[in-house]
Formats: sequence, structure tokens, C-alpha cells
Amino acid sequence: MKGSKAVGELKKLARDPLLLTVIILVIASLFVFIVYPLFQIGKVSFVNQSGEFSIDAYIRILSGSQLLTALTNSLVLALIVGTLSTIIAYTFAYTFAYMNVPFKKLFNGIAILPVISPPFVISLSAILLFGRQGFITKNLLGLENANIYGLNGLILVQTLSFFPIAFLVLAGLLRSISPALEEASQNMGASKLKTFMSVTLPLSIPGIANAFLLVFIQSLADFGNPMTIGGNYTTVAREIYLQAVGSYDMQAGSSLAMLLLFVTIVVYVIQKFWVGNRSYVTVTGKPTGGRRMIEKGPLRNIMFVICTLLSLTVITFYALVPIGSFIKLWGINNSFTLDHYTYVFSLGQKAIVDTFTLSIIATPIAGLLGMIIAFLIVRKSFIGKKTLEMVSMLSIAIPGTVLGIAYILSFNKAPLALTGTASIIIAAFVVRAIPVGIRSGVTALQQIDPSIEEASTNLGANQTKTFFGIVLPLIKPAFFSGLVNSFVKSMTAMSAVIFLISAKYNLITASILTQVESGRIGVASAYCTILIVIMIVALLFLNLLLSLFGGNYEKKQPKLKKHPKLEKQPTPQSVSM
Amino acid sequence: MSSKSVTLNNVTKTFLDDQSRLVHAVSDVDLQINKGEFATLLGPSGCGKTTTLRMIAGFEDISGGDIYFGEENVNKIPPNNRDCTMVFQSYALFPHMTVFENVAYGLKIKKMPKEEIEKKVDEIFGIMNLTEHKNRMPNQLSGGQQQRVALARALVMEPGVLLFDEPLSNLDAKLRLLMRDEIRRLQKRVGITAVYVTHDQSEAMSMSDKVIVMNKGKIEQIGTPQEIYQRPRTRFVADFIGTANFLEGVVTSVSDEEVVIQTEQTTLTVVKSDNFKVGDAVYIVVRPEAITLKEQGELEAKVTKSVFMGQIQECEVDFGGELLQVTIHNPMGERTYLEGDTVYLEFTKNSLHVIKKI
Repeated sequence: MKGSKAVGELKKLARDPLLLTVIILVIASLFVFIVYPLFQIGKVSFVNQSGEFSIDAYIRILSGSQLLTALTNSLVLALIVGTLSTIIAYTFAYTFAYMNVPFKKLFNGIAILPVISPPFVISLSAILLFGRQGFITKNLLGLENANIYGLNGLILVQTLSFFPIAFLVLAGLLRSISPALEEASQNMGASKLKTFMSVTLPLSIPGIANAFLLVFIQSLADFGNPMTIGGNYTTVAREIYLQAVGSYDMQAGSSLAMLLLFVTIVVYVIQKFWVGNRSYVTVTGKPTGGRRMIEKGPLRNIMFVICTLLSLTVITFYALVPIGSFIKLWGINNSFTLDHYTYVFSLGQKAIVDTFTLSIIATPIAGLLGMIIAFLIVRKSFIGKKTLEMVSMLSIAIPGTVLGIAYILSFNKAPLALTGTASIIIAAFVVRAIPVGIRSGVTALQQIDPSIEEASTNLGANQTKTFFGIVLPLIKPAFFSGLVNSFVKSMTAMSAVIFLISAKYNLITASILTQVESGRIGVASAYCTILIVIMIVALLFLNLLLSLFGGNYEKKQPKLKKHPKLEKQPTPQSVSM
Repeated sequence: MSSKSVTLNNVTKTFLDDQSRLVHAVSDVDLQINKGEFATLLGPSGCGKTTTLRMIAGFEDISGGDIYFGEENVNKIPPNNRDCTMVFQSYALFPHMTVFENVAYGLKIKKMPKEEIEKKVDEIFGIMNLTEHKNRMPNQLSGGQQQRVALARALVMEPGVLLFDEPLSNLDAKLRLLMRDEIRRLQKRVGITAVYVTHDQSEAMSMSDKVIVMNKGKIEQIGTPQEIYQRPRTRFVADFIGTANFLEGVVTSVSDEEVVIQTEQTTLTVVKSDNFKVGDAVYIVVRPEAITLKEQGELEAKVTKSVFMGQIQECEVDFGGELLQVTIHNPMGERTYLEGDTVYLEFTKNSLHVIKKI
């Protein structure tokens, strides 16, 4: 019977050659750029230098070498950062959902800032503040030889970088808890504290677990921060890079990558299926209205102070980088200079142009591909759909470093000799960016009545016309957020592409890393500042495009009751690793 | 407008369920809908009516059989090239287009010149009182207006066949009655073939030339509303359309025009509607209005429930162990029987109907 079903589906597809072509192309490209490279690292990790099968590398790692230290270090770090971030995020999110405090919008914006910023900003600021010449350590506290490099530094910068992810998850969850439940509890005589402990907190446990695990994966996969501020505290993503590029030990690099991939996928699966199914809160996408906000009281004031302090910290960290870029030699010669920019514009121009060009090429590809895959997953049935769904879903759990090493292993010889070309970098950009696009596309499509598309077909439109005339306009918000995400991701990408840059194509992030490694923090800051400026300009331009061509139909509908506040807040989907 | 007939020959739809078992959603449906006819597919949810409609539209592949529009076999014609338009249950208006753009959408795809599109759309807006809403967005309209836009969008295409998928189920009761009349009036006016799906029997009764009652993927009966109600062919049809009491019995004698049936409670003589033989096990279908309650008579029963409903008095009587529903129209001025009263039943011979027990 299964066979006849498959035949039936094939027949149906054969009648729609365009759809068939699209499906084949999508599956083929996912295979070439995701499945095949992962298979390659798996293979290489089991082959020793003389080309025979061996599990030496795994034995070497697990028997307690420096490589094992990297793995345990990463897990310890991820655990600490996950816990701290979740606690901070819960405090923040609770304040948002339950209290009336001033500057709410501002806090919200600040809280999500690290999500879209280049991976170095916070590390650089941490060095500027707490490094050997750090403003706080040296100038304020008068410490000589203060050491921010290592575990403490990593905890600080990763927590600041990743708590926004936890915040987005928790804020969404807390907002969707029906106030009626808490009112019911109070109505039955429970105090506010009792209500929190026995209703609100238990209801938010799935969200807490979710937030923790997301941050956990991020921290594990993080490359930029350990490279800049890790010091002697080796972590796994960094070690993979050092093994592969530094000592050219591909087998060690690959097996470490396999172990990292294994951990992230397990954690992702736990997060997705185990925690996901445990949610008590029905997420309708609509905010539950009418929660009575806490307007005053000591608790509110404490929370307000915490939020303010945290926001000020984030602002400080961001403000320091541009400031640092104009200072001659931070901590030693604090005079104003434009030298760093002169340097960047003379020597680093190529990296800027390359990054921008490649990102601009990757953005529409990733944006459109994400929507097409989402459309196929939600609306079409075909052979291999389950696999397509799995691959595109799990690809979100592939750490950049793993993808990077997989790509150099897979694309260094014919017929896919792409190493050193622009296409391999673009492919890496696209693969890193589409999971988020697919997810937001799937969510958007699931909310659209399929009969709208049927109506279009019924009135004579073909697939292409229906997709571009009806589907795409309807999921435009998801499409545009996918574009923005792709652009931001590509501009700030490092972990995967660091393996793929060449003399022909250099990237800003890689240049920043080089500058940091040689201690030229001023130049690194200048690069970062330029990167941020380019991104802001590009995002403003994209927003302008949206308002010009977007013509979002929802805005024309005064009758539609929507909570504009919620609409504007980014969903957890805009977050990924 | 060139209206077309619709013919279904042995149409079957099968699919595999989660456990890979073969399920017949629709099996062996034979159906002929004439040009200009208003035909309704009626049945409970899951009976295959919507699947049948979607196969006609081309949204579902057929597993077997043939579908014809007029003389043309449309099995292999993709849905976007079939000469039929559909009014969807959810209306499926394009939310990002104005009312005008929605209605003009199909014509634009046909590459009709702009002036002609405007002329056609204006004409249909005139007929359907939509002119003033032309530039509005769909969800600035009320439910009834949205419904009319959906209808206008389908009608403006001048299709060979017009399909309706439970179009009134999202409207409130009053509006539903209004739209019912409007759809029927428009359909008659343009003389288009219409296939209409509903689970609401009163909708089917009031609008259709032909009612097709479906159950479990099969056609139970095809007929005019009167035939379906008065001469149901199966117990399912009798039960689904309106309220029916069933008396089980055996045929004891057959003449040219009448059949005599012995039930547990009594012997009844009924108009012959099928080939019955002596000894056949049958059901007598007794509609609640086919029973009259009297103070005297032969067939004694006890009132077990009596509810005043305004227009009618609804009673339930115990007739020799069988509970029968009885409705009495406008009991004002006459005696109202209450719970516990003893009454005598009188059956209206012409209102009784016999079906074979299968």
C-alpha cells in the first residue's frame, strides 16, 4: 500500500513539473550543503593519517587529553552561562509581563541588542573595561595585571550576549499565561507569593527549561568570545578550529566536531521534543489581555533598579567600542585619533567590501529559500518531505565551527572544489541563516487558511503565481524578518566562515579576530564600529523598503484588533545560534 | 454564461491512514447534475461530501472513476484550469487585496483587458450591492458582506459550474436565512449549475433542485427535497432528514397499491412504494406530524413528555413500549396533553412510508 501511495504522489508531482524541479533542487542543495558535509566529518573522524579506519581520535579525546579538557570546559561554561542567563532573563521578563515600570520599551530594545550585534562587541568592551589596561581594573581600582581572560571573562561576556535569547523565550511565555489562573488562585485565598510559587512558576517551568537549553547550545557553539577573551580556558569550538587550522589535525578536529555536534543535537532534541511537549500554556499568538500590572511597591522598585542597572551595563558595553576606536592606545595613551580608521580604510577595505557583497548576495537567497522550504513543508506532500523537515530543523543545531570544518573537508576537491571561492562562503551564510527563516515561515503559513491558496488556484492561477501573488505577500512579515536575519547573520558570521576565507575573500569578522590576536584593540574596535554602522544603515534601508513596497495590509485595517506592542516585539524565532 | 452539467462515474477516493490502512473516503459515487441545476451534497461530517466537492474542483486527486464537465473528462485537468469556481467555507478572501482586487483577481489571470475587467466587476457589484465597499479591505466588512464578495469573486468568472463548500456555516442564524435566499435567487437568475455542500438539512431542503444524501463515503439517496423527506430509501436518510419514528414490522399481505404490516403494537396499512413480498422485515417511517393524538380510539398510548415550543407542542408517547415523537401544530384552543395523560393515536395513512430492513 505504501508503494502505491508513493506512486500516486509521484504521478501528482509529474503533472506539476515546476514544483517537482523546485523540490528536487531544494533537496539536492540541502543534501550537498548540509548532509554530505556532516557525513564527511563523520568519515574523517574515523580515518587515521595512513587512511585506515580507526577510533584513535575518539580514544585520544576521551582518555583525558587537552581535547577532553576543552569539552568539559565548554560544558561547565555552558552550564554556568545557561543558569545565569536564565535567572537574569526571568527577572527581566517578569518585570516586563507583570509590572508597570518606566522605559519599558527602551529596556526591551536594549535587551535584544546583543542578539543582532557582531560577536565581538561585548568581548572587546570587556577587555577595554577589565583588561590589563582596563578602565575599571586599572584606572578605577588601580589593579596591575588584572586578568579578564579565561573563565570569568567568558562567563561575563557570554551571559551578557546570550541572556536576551532566554529573555525572548520567557517574555513570550509569561505574557501568554492567562491572568485568570492567577486571579483564580488569589480568589481562593492564596497570597501573591503563594500564587507565584504555586501557579506562575510551575507554569513557566517549560519556558525556563527551554530558555536554559537554548542558551546552553549557544554557549557551547560560541566561537568568537572564546577566541577573544578565552585566554587559557580552552573551549571545544575554539579547539576544533585550532586543531583543524592550527595543527592541521583533521581527524582530531573532526572527532571533536562530531562530539560537539552530538551534544548540541541531543540538547536541541530535548529542548524541542521533550520540553516542547510539556508546555501547559497554549500559545495562541494572542496576548492574554487584562493582566493587572503591579504599579508600585518595594518589589517593583527593586526590579526596576535591576533592569536599569542591567540596561546601563549593556549600553556601556556597546558605547565603549566606538569610543575605543578613537583612542590611540587604550589605557596608556588616551588621546583622540583617527589612525585606526585610516588603517581600516587602507588595509581593511577589501574585507569590508567582501563581507558586504557576499552578505547582500546571500540575503535574498536565504530569505527566499527559507520561505520556499517552509511552503513545501506546510503545504505540499511529496516523497522525502519528512527528511526535508528533519534536516532543515536539525540544521539549526549545527554549531558554526562544525559546519566550517565540514565544509573544508567536503569541498576541497573536484567535483565540488569550492574552497576559496565566493560560493562556499555564500553557501555557509545561507545554511546558517535559513533555519530561522524556515521556522518563521512555517509559523506564518500555519496561521493562514489553506483555502486562500486554493481560492487562487480555483480562480486560475498557477503555482508560481499563487506563491508570489498570494503566499509571499501574506507571509511578508516572516519573509522580511527572514531577510533581516540573514543579512545580520551573514555580516556578523564568523564561526563557520573563518575556515573558508582565503586571500581572495576576506571578511570583517576574521580581520577583527586578527587584530584582537595581535593586541590592536583600537583597530578591532574601529572594524566593529564600521560593521555596526553598516548594519544599522542596511537595516534602516531594508525597513524603508518594507514600508515602501511592503504595504503591510494589516496596517490598512483599523478594525483589526491587534496589540501593536506584541507585534513589534521580536519572537523567539528571530534567535538562533 | 455557458453552464455545464457535472457527471461523476464510479468516483472513488482512498487514502492511507496513520496505520497505513486503506480508507475509502468516497466510494463508487455515480452522480449526474444537470445544466443549471442546484444540487446539494448533504450528510453528516466525515461522510465524504466535501471530499467529493474538492474532487470536482480538482483539489483532491481521484483514486478511481471519471469526472465530466459537460462532455469533457476533467480527470487530468489541474484545478487552476477547470471551468469551475468555488465559494469557500472560510470565504478565503485575499486579505492583502481590496474587495475590487479580490473580485478582479481571476479575470486578471485570464489576461482580460483592464476596461473589461472594470466593467464586469462593476456589473457584479451592482447585482450584489457591493459597489460602495469596492475599495475596502476584506476584514473591514461584516460576515455577510464578506460572503457576498466571495460569491461575487466566484460568479464574475462566469464558470461552467459553481461550487459551494458550506458557505453559510460562519454566519449567524438570521443572516444565514437571508443569504440562503440570495444565493438561490442569484443562481436561478444566471442559470448556473451549482454544487453545494452542507450538513444543514434545512439549507439543503430550501435551496436545492436535487439533494444527494451521503453517508460513510457512499450515496444513500438522490432525489428532490420532497422525495428525500417523504420517501426516504434507507433508515439513515429518514433519520438524518428531519425527525423520524421507526416501527419495526413484517409484511403480511401485499396488493397493487397497499401493503399491510404487522408491528408489535398494531397492524398498519400503508401506501406501497417499493416491491415488497410477504414476510419482508420492514421499518415503518412515522414522521412526528403523521400522528394525531385523540381522546378516544383504538391505539392507546401514554404521554411521557410534553413541551410547549410556541409554534408547536412536542410530545413523546409510549406506544406499547416504543417511544414516539409527536408534534401538534398550534395547540391553541385545543386540548393540550400533558405528561401522564392517556391518549389514542391516529396515523395518517398517506404520511407513512415503508422501507426494507437491511
